[in-house]
Amino acid sequence: MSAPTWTGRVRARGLAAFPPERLLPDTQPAYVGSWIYVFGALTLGAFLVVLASGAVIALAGPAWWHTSSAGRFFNSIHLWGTELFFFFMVVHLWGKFFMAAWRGRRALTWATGAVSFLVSIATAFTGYLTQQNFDSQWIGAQAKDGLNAAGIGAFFNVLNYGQMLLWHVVLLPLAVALLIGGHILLVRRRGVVPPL
Amino acid sequence: MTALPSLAGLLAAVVPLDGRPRYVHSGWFLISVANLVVIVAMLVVFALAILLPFPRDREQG
Amino acid sequence: MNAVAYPRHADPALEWTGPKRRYDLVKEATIALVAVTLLTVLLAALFSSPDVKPVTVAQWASASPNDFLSTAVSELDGTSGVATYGPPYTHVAGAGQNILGGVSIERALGVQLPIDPARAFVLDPLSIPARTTPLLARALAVYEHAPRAQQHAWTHAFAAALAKGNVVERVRRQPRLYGPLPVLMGELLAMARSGGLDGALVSTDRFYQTNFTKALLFLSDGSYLESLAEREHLLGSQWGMMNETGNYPGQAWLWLYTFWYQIPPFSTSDNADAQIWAIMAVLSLAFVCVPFIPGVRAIPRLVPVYRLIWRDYYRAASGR
Repeated sequence: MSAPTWTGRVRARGLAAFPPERLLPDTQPAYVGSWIYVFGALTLGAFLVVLASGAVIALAGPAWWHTSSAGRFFNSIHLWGTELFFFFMVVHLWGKFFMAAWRGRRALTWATGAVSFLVSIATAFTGYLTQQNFDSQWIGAQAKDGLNAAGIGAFFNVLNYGQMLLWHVVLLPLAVALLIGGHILLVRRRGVVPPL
Repeated sequence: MTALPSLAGLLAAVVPLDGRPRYVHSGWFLISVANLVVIVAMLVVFALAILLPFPRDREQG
Repeated sequence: MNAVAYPRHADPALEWTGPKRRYDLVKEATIALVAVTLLTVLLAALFSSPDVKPVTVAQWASASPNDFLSTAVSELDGTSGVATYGPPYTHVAGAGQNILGGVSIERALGVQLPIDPARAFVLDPLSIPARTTPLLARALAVYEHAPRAQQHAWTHAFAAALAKGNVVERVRRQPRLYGPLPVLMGELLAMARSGGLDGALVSTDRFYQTNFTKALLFLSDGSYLESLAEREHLLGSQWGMMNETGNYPGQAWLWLYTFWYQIPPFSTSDNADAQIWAIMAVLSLAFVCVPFIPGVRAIPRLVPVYRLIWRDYYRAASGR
């Protein structure tokens, strides 16, 4: 037999970590019986709504929503989607904390969730900065002092609209998506934590 | 697609949230009514999520 | 739930071998997505979203000409917020917030976004109308060629006249005291009111513009923007970081970050931003590392919310 290919190795490792029944099980341990368990899915749903509405806004550009009622409607979906995203994420976080869900080699699951929360804050922040209204002006004027004091402002200029828009539309959503993806794969890998 | 803009215009802010902002102020603690509603809602939803019975697995029942 | 052999305290590191239940993840995710979409559309339709128009320099100059002119003079003078800010905008010895003692990341990184306030906000914009206004061109030349001490004398006198409130009268009575300042400031005010200064502050020697640093720094050096923010409870001292204009919910998740600004010693500290950033960096790291922090990771056992979450399981496991 010839030497294993890179593709073969990746496939083998992937299947070992995530056999189909583990990746998409249709059963769960019997202790999974509380509404608190649905808040991860609700958070993911809200994230998808935010991405989709953001994509619609991107179709017509960042100034569209100021002059079009359809644009304003999609901006509203984007804003309320974000409020719901944080709402569900925090309830999910409270639930996972009181379950001590990091037990049993699940510390990385907790960590990816926590970092997702922090990066989501940065994503929302750049969103507020790129609204092109009074809010953006004030938030930029205020935030610059905090960021400058931390040394970040020298490279992450909140008053540079072009830079902030690209961080908001490209870099940060990609980071959040990768973190959420990793988080979900870790939940599937280890399974849902058993009762205390 | 043309129906959507006029529908959106019709629906624009049925409950207008612009206007004089309402705040709860006690000493150095200051919070908007809107944020207070959101935080209270989160606590209520959390409590309900934990307390409300979750559908059982009928096959196992 | 059947009273089968439930492991009372399963080892969380091991794969669950106990009883299972049917659980349709794809159906749950689909229902969650549909529900959230409908809820979001409903909220958007009911409440819309805020869109308070941005402030322009033209608006500022028209609504608050005194504040506009005081700010412009302070930019010339080197006493404005930007001029005395230090890194990353200007070279000012010792400027920059300290985290602890004399440690300042801000100072260490230095000036990365250099701005010359006098040129950026006053002299360069005025050079545009000066090309077609000989009086202005002469006033600019007089100012730029005067010794620094003379420039200061003119700007101090003009600032004092502005503070007293009857600058036009004072200039008429003692014009020599103010040198070219009345012409420069008069032309700058006119340029601002016409909208020309908004354009000049954004434009560079390149065609396409996406950077509003100069315009926003100039606006925030004045008091007009801040006065509008105060009305909307957006100031740092008003828990502003959490708030939104009008009665819209804001960013409740920033409560802990803005909280520190409300209490001593941070509420009166010159280094509040640096200190609070340091505190929040430590707390954020702690948040990520909760599983490893003794005491904090024990809270779920001490506050037994878990007994409610898993009540059916505990009942079945104890055979009831």
